[in-house]
Amino acid sequence: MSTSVSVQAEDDDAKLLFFEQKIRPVLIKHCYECHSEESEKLSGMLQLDLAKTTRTGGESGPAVVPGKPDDSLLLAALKYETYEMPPSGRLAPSVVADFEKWIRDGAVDPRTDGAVVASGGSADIDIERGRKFWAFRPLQRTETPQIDPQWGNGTIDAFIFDALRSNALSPSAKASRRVLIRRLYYDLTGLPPTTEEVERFVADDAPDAYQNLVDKLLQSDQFGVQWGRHWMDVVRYADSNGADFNATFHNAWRYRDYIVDSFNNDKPFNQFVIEQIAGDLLPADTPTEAREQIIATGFLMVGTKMLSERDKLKLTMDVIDEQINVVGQAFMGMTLGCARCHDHKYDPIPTRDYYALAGIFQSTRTLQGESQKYVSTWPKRTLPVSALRLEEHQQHTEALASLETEKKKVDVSIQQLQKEIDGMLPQLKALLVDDTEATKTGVWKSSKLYPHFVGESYIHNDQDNSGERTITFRTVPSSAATYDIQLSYSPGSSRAAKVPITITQGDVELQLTMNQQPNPPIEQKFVSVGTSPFQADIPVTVTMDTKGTEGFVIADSLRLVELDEQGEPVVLEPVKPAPAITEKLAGLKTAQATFAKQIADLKKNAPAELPQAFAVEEAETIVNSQINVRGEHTNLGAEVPRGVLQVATVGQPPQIDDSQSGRLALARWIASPDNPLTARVMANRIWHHLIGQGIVASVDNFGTLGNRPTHPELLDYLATDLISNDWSIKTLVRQIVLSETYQQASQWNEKAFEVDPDNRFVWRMPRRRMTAESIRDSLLTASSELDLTPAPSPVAGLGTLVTNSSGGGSFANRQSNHRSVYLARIRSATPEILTLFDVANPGLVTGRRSVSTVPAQALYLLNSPFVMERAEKTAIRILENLPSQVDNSKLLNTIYMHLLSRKPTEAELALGTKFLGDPAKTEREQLKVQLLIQTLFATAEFRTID
Amino acid sequence: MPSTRRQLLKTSLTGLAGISVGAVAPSPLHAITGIKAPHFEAKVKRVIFLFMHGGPSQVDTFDYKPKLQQDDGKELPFETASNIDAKKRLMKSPWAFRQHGECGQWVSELLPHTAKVVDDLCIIHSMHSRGQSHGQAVSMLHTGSDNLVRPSVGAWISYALGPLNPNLPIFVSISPSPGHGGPRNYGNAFLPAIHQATVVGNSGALGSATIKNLQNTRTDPDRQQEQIELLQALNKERLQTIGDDGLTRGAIDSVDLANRMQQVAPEAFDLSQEPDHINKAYGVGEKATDNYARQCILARRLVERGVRYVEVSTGNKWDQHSKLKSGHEKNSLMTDRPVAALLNDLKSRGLLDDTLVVWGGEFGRTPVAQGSDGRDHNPQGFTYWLAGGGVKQGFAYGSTDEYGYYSVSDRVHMHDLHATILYLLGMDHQRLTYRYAGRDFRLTDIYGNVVHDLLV
Repeated sequence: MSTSVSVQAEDDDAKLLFFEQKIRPVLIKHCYECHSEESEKLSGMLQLDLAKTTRTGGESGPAVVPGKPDDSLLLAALKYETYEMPPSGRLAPSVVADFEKWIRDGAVDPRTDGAVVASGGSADIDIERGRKFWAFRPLQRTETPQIDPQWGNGTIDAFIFDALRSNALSPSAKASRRVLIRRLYYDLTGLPPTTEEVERFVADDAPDAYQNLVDKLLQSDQFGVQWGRHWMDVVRYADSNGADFNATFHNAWRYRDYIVDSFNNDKPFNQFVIEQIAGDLLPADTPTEAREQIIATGFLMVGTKMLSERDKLKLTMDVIDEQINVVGQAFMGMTLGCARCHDHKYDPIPTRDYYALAGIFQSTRTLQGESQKYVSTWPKRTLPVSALRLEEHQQHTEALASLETEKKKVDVSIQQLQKEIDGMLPQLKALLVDDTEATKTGVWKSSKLYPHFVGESYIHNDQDNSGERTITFRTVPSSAATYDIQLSYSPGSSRAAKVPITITQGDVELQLTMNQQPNPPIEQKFVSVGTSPFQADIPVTVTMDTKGTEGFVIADSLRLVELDEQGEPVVLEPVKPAPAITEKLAGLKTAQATFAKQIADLKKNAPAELPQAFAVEEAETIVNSQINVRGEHTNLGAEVPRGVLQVATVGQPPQIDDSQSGRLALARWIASPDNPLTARVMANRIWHHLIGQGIVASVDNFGTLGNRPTHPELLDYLATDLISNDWSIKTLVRQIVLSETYQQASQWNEKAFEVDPDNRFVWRMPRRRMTAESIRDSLLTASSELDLTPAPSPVAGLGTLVTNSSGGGSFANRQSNHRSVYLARIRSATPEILTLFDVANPGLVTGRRSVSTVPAQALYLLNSPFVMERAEKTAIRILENLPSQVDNSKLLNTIYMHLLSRKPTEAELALGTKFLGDPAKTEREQLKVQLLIQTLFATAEFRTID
Repeated sequence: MPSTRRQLLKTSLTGLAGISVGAVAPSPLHAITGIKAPHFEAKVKRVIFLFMHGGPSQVDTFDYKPKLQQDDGKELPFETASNIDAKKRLMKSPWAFRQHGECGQWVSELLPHTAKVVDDLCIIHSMHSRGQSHGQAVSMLHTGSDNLVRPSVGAWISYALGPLNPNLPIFVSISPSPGHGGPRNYGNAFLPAIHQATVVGNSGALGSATIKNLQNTRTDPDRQQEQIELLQALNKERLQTIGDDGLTRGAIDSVDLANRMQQVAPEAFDLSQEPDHINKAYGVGEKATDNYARQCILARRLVERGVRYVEVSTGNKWDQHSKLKSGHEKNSLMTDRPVAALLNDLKSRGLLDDTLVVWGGEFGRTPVAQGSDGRDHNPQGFTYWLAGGGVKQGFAYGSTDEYGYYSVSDRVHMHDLHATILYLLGMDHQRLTYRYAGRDFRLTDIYGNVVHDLLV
């Protein structure tokens, strides 16, 4: 039995080998172009890249019937009997014979749909074949086409011109200076130029005027704001969690500032990559450096998480999935999420690779503890600071602690003294005996649990009812009278209900019981157990017994209150405290005030709080992930060693130490010049932002389903250039904006449009709708209100949650005139103007924002208070700076220059004049100017970069 | 140039018909919808989703379980779902059930008005979903994903079918809660932004009940019309100068549309036009029902005027971990009469024939007790009902176990409900896709089956 099974297995292996050697390569080479998932159009509905679809066949019926060569249409077609396939020419008879044998032997075919292979290794994904896909090929620097004497000033132009020419297109004329300066300002800083800057540039005859402008803007602090914002889109930046539990990300803003600073300082992009994935694992020379590197890993933190997921393993795997996804898309343009459940259907990424990465993030701590039941939260980590600052902070903490201790002592003394003084003002003529002054037998326990007691504490018998423990209060009345006999105690249901009490004076003895369960009626402490006449100068004893009691017996104090003839308590005249005591109290109070002031001063001058990080760290235990079959975390398959994507690995894969998560190795592998994706993806992102469309249009997807590069050699040129210039983003930006390609006009050209409607070959600069942030910042610039300084945390003061999850919400949209990048990005409460103009959804990686034109935008521009107020302020400012008798054309000139960086046309002057009316006839009406300005805000041009 | 608003409106409407889609640069207003023709014959044109946020208890409303009544206080004889706070002690419904209508379906005394329209309902007793907490379950219900950012049902429908009335939004969410995902539950995610919901009200409260920026409170209307004329003249002048430009043409179209919207849409939101008998039927003006009644009337007004998908949210009110008795009574009082009135109203206007009404929460509640008077979350089994075009009437489908805990027969997953809603709108949930980040996404991910047994 066992022999035949193994024979069978060997037989199957041989058939499989036959398929792999003889059949699959032929199918790939000759059939897949038209008959596979990747085909642009599936011919005859026949798909030959899966066993299943090969058997079901296409429009004509089953292509392969196992065991039956004669019924298999595929074979007939290869023999040119029915269809003639492949159309490029008949295959060799030996190849056709191979197919015949394969079908006769049962058509063994391991090619299954990824969805059913989730166990790990898949015969389906051929990594070697995958590497042949353009994006995974090593970067290649091909020969640059000659720069044409007619057009172009460098390599970029040479590539562009070459492609234009071969598509019978030609570049557009150079844009005017006015257009160029506005374009450059928006692209490099996200802001418009001032009228003066435009005039100066237009008048500047120097040959390097443009270059000087470029260099000036690259040095501007606003460059990092604009380019940082692009990156924040990619890393789905937000200041709150969103999702089910909208927790405040109190320290995310440090990561925001890190991004802005990195672009301003032109941090080498490879370093930028490594820091964001594994900055916390890098060596640092200074605390500043260490801090920055830790903050950088906010990249892995700022994703949205279902924090209230009760199944914590699922939450962990979901968070890891989010991290893998952002790492894949942001740096490599790879969508890896698919491989969580099955081998990637389109890209050569097996499930194994996904779980190799998952192990790295499973060995990284992103979540720690709960902020409330079932709701996870993240590790809190204090950032390293300079030794000086740390010392300062420690000194401060210690000084504060010592002052507070001193003050506490004074507070206590005052309290005691006050009590003493209060004690000197008894209202009643009474004799008081505290438990501390009483005679006890056995061990009594001291307690302060119940707050109302006499003296320092009260005592109890610990429920011992053997009778061993007794307590006797003794006092001597100074005058003969009737006394109310009161005992104080702490009440409760656990107390004894019948405590035997014996009262004696001389030979007289009185026995009674006391119930300690109800609340004491007098001063919340005492209960009267009876009244009795006592003689003067003869001791009275009150003894509490514990024998046979049930529950706690409490002893606190005895009070004999003298009663008058009517049976009312005798009230005493108050006693004045001695002068020494009042003086002492005054002294203490002065000391108290001094300490309080010292503490307040110290707090006021406190060194800043030690900064907290929103950052990951290495997990306590380093683990490998097990494959989650079909993505189900409860269905575990094989363990996969931590590692990286096979298909994008050149040479040896990185080694991951047993003691490390592998994040650093992963980061270095991504940031390596050998990684075929990283530099290409980033160079393409930069091209996309400047030219309006990526060389690969799908900027976040370099996979099979993404777009192919329109200019592959140019992309590789830009990518290798990025690497060889020490990964300098500014250098690459500079190179692109200095090209003639970038400096083209955006004029419409119908002929070119017919050839290339999508402008894939860049026959002009496209007109682009500016970002939502630029629209808002431009409105605030027009009204001279924009604050260009960086803003601190936009969520300071918010609680654990920014909104109450069941409604209302504690988050108020805060007013700010800072640049839009500094507005709080609360997931669920994005500022209206940003949402309307297609700001990136912070739940998704967004390298390319969509651009919509919808009525809600027009309604906003026409009716929102924000726009109308900006128009009003702009009108006031413009009119203030002009003579009151200004004519329409001068006024319109000023407004157009201020808002659009150009002069109005004749037609526009006429329209504007008609709207404004004749100032000679009536007084200039500010409202009309304001409405005209608002109208210009609402034009397409105001939000368009030409 | 038109000189009055009425003329302008007329001109613009003619203008809309005249939008050409020839060899011009693409304008973003064009090509916003996914499929041009439905995959199947549509049974309904629009949907009203009555979202009972928080999770109403199935065993106290529609899912009558005599065994639960009998075994009150006893231990549940099988395991509870993991990660819940409820004990294993069964708790009977504090409300009496009775059979109603010709169909004889059971409805508890909590919902006397709904009981009267039970012959119109297609009740699903065997719902189940994913997400033991609100966040996940609400997300699952709205987007088909319990953890990832995905477009909401309304956004998919907007993308697929486009507007019935170009002057109104396609997808309106009335009084959604900002919590449990907030905008994500009515958002477009990766679909074009136009497909996100227009929001009216907040957290179950209707408030001023209008679209933001729909009206200008500062500028005199005639002056604004002059301003809009100037705006359009400037945009057109610019178009002359620069040659064709999609952004500019799109802006011109969108201003026309916005201008029509601000004249037409306020009428749709003007609840003061409703006659007394309607107000009375829904319970407008009565303390318990006023707010939800007005939400339901608004929903009717909107679908009547061509809004495709309207969600009406109660706000997170049904989450009775404790005080089940008073809480569910209050919520039922608030919603029962308006909901029944909505069905009657739609019916009397002939709208119910091609409108689908969907009622339900993100999950149900456990038949076992949490504390002395509460029930925990239960995505394992709960009840939904549908009413309107294409679905069976006076019909009940599927069942939970003898205690009403787990969905056991003819189970309907949330994905199946989504597939069925899309089917009724004429769409194949497997073919309604959008390519994003290298993948074709669906509302139902890789799951979902149309529940044909529910359909006529």
